[in-house]
Amino acid sequence: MKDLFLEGTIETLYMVSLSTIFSLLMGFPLGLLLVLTEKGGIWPKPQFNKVLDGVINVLRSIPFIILMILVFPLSNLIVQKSIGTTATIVPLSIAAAPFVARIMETSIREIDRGVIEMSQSLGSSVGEIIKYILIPEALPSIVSGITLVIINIIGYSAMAGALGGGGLGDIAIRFGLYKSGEKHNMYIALIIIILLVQSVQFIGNRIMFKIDKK
Amino acid sequence: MIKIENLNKVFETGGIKFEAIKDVNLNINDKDIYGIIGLSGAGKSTLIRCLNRLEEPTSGSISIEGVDILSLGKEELRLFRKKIGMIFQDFNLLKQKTVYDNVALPLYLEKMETKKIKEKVDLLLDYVGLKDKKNSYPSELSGGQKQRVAIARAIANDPKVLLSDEATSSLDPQTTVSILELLKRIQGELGITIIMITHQMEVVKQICNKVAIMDGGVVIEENTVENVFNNPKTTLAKSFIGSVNTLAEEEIINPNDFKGKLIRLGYLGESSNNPIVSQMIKNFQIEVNILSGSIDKLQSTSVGHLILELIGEESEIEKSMDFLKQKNVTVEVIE
Ligand SMILES: Nc1ncnc2c1ncn2[C@@H]1O[C@H](COP(=O)(O)OP(=O)(O)OP(=O)(O)O)[C@@H](O)[C@H]1O
Ligand SMILES: [Mg+2]
Repeated sequence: MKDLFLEGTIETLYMVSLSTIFSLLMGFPLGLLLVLTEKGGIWPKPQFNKVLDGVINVLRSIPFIILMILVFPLSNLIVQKSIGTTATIVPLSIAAAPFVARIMETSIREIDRGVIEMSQSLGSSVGEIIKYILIPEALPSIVSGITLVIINIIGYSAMAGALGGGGLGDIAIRFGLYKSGEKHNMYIALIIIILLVQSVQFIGNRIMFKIDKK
Repeated sequence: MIKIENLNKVFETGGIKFEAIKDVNLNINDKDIYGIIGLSGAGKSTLIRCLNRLEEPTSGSISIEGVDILSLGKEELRLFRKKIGMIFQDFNLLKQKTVYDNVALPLYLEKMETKKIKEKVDLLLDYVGLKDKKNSYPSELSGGQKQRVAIARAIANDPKVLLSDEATSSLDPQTTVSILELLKRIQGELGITIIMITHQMEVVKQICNKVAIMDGGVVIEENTVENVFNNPKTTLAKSFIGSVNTLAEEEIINPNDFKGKLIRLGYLGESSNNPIVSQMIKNFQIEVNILSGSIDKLQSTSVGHLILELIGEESEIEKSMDFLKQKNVTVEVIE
């Protein structure tokens, strides 16, 4: 029994951590581009910006369960499987990426316009503005955003359990729905999920508190 | 040398055009501390921001050190900006970075060696009196200290020109004085040209040698600070000067309350040493009543103002006023 939960937790951590990494890798540049290319931005490309904004919105409005089914063929292509823990990482990452992009966008928008003008007055290039101004100044806000992303992915990963994604969600759904005599197992899985979310929030807050010098 | 010719800036928002800068012409000499004063919305920030093209002028020309800056391409402009420092009202420091890193920013951008950066930043921090704040964050500094950091950053690249947009406007009077003293020292020791945007005549009076007065996008008066203080031509200039000395009283003094003629005298440093008023009383058949007086210390000289009531025959009063004019005193009748 213990092994069941240990295995479930490990599966969940595996899905969540890899999906977080991939969603950050996709969402970060998208969010950055979203701010840079807007009208009056540092690197204005209004047409491109509109398209990007639209795509991100569309992706964000697809319910996760449906997205999972939609990307079955893609999962198949990437990990040679459309079902299972590893396969679930694909829809999880795709679902979280636009969310990451929006978080990146809002974090950067919080930076004072004046600070960006200051760096322009020093003759910095777009790349230098990203490196020396945008990322460092938005970092605490980005960290708190990433905390939210991870918590969201934990939630999605539990949902993915219903479609054979494995992990704690899978355990909770299996025992909760089908094994009437062993409902307590659902609660145990649920408690572990809650603990995971709490620890992520706690650690996220601590890191943010530590790095924010404002 | 900075030459601004026929400069115009038109903003267009939602199809509505707004002329923020109208046909501005200015010549700013090397090592000037050139004040640009005006009320809110006069176009001061827009004008100064045109100088490093944070704002793109609509038409006209600007040349700085012989470089026609409006013809510079993107990359040339970026490199040229490194020679023009800028400081702002709200400091614009990086909040997540230490004082050291803030000052080092322009040097990081230059890809200078770490060792050289350290030497230079230490020197700069020493210069602005913040050696012991090296590892502090901006949130731990006072307004005056923040502006010192911003100044150190602005001169880190050894610029030829420093643009200051209301750099002292959010500071208290005492801190303002200390920041102005620092800027004055920088101008003197590093030999740079400073352009100071302000809405406080106090600032102009303390460190500028020349001043332009802006109103509605137009430069309505432009002269040396002495001349403007001694003999302001426009009402706006007068009211700005009024805000520094006791001339605000002029508005309280109502000529109808006096039987004599009210005149306002303005004189520069040298003339204030001569007993002109007592000579006038001796030479002419008039009586004099002193209503108000003040002396302003400017950069290089001082300017005095007197408001007098002259009582006597009209012809004697005329002669007295001519006498004053001969002695290089500006005379204006208050009606
Ligand atoms: N980006 C813009 N778009 C439209 N109008 C603008 C823009 N920037 C400035 N203006 C207008 O131009 C005029 C001059 O503005 P500016 O900021 O240069 O004034 P200022 O003299 O610096 O005033 P203050 O003392 O308040 O800073 C104002 O009426 C302002 O509304
Ligand atoms: Mg302004």
